[in-house]
Amino acid sequence: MTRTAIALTCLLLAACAGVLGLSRGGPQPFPHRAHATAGVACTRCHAGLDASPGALHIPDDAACATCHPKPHDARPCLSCHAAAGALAELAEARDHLVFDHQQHTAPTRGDCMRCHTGIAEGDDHLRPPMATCFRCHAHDAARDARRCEACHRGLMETQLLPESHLAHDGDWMREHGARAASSGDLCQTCHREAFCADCHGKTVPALPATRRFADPFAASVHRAGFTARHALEARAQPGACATCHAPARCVACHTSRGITGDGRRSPHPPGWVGPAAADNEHGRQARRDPAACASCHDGAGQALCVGCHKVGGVGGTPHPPGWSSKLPLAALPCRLCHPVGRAP
Amino acid sequence: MPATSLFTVLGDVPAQHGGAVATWRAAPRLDVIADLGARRVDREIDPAIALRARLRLDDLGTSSLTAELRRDGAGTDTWTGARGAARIALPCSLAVTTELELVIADHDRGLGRVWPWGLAALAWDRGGWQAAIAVEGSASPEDRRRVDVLGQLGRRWGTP
Repeated sequence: MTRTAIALTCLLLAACAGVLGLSRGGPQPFPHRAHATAGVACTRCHAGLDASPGALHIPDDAACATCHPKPHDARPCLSCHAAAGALAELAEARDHLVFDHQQHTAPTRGDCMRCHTGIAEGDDHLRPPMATCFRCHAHDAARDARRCEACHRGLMETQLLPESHLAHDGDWMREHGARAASSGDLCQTCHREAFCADCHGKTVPALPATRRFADPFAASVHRAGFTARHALEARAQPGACATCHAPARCVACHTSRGITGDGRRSPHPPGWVGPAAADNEHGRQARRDPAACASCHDGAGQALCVGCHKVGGVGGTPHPPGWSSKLPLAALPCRLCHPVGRAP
Repeated sequence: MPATSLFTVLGDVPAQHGGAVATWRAAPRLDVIADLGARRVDREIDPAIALRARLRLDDLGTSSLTAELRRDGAGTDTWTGARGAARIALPCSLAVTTELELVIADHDRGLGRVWPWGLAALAWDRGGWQAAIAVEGSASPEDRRRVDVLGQLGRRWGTP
């Protein structure tokens, strides 16, 4: 049985190797590592790297032909021997990164692998990460002061995603608001204000899940069938809704859809309220998220609560254990239940 | 909440959520992400777990598949969910996408327990122009069955 399972797993992996990227078809990353280990100097192909700044220094077919005089294909070498999009990324980096190989040749004594350390592991990801720059260049002060333009040109146009120094990972969708509020200048190093307005419009919020409904991979707070489960999520995260929505939002939506407010349909499930020995789920939920109750029952609606939760009433005290208040009993909301001037 | 509200006397029970996210590149084009956590609400602790996998069908990820399993909620509001989505790039800047989700609530509050949701869309994005048409179907506590047809035509200027 175990052997069959192993055999089936191997068969499945072999069948899916192409899809999983284990065996690659189409253009391959250029075999830099094989050339380096064969002792080919980098500047032999990337000629002029240490002399003329600005150019891309990509070798042409003639450069390849000096060692490979009989090409096996009539197409340009780099049409197959370069990762998809690699040349475009290189051109993009040349346009938007303040960097000159020529200036680095002398300090590194021509040892390209001092920065291009990725070649030790393979042919992918040969462009050094920013941390490599920081090994020699002390840019910490510039980074802390959000002065990125010393190295990055047109950062807002590049759509560059930070990889190491400010990763937008984890629960970023929920955290980004608090982060932006505390250090908005950091956001502004890459994003214009219009980027925020893309989702947080001044008049009408257009969440990615709504505006980009055809992109299931767009990150959004209210993804997919949120309508069905929003009550569950709201109760599991008391107060979370109020971070973005005013309580009136719940009332307005439920009222317009006939879920509450007009007596046609109660939003509360069975067992919500009953005699003292019954489920009385409403008390538990009210302790969890009093703001949710207040969104409908505040103001004059409070009389509904006070009818039971008053001194001597069947509902008993609504105060949680250890409750104390510095308010005088004559003040609101104390006087709604407590006779003025008399402690219960 | 105004200090004069009766509901201020109930206190405020916050939800606390802790956990860790682990990402594993199982294959060059396959990412597996485990979000393991727990949520504490009103002295009750419940798991908040999400397991998702994303498979890129090409090196740039223009075509992708994703699958996700979730266990979430608190107290009597716990639920289990499964979600799958696919985006397949087609020639002529077209893409077809589909997204399916199934939510199963642990407790029936008289509004049903199984809530499926699905969307199929055809999108076109070229040179700042964007167009999409989609059909969305769902069952929810609000509507037993619901079908929506969505359309979008947009134009972008500049970069964000």
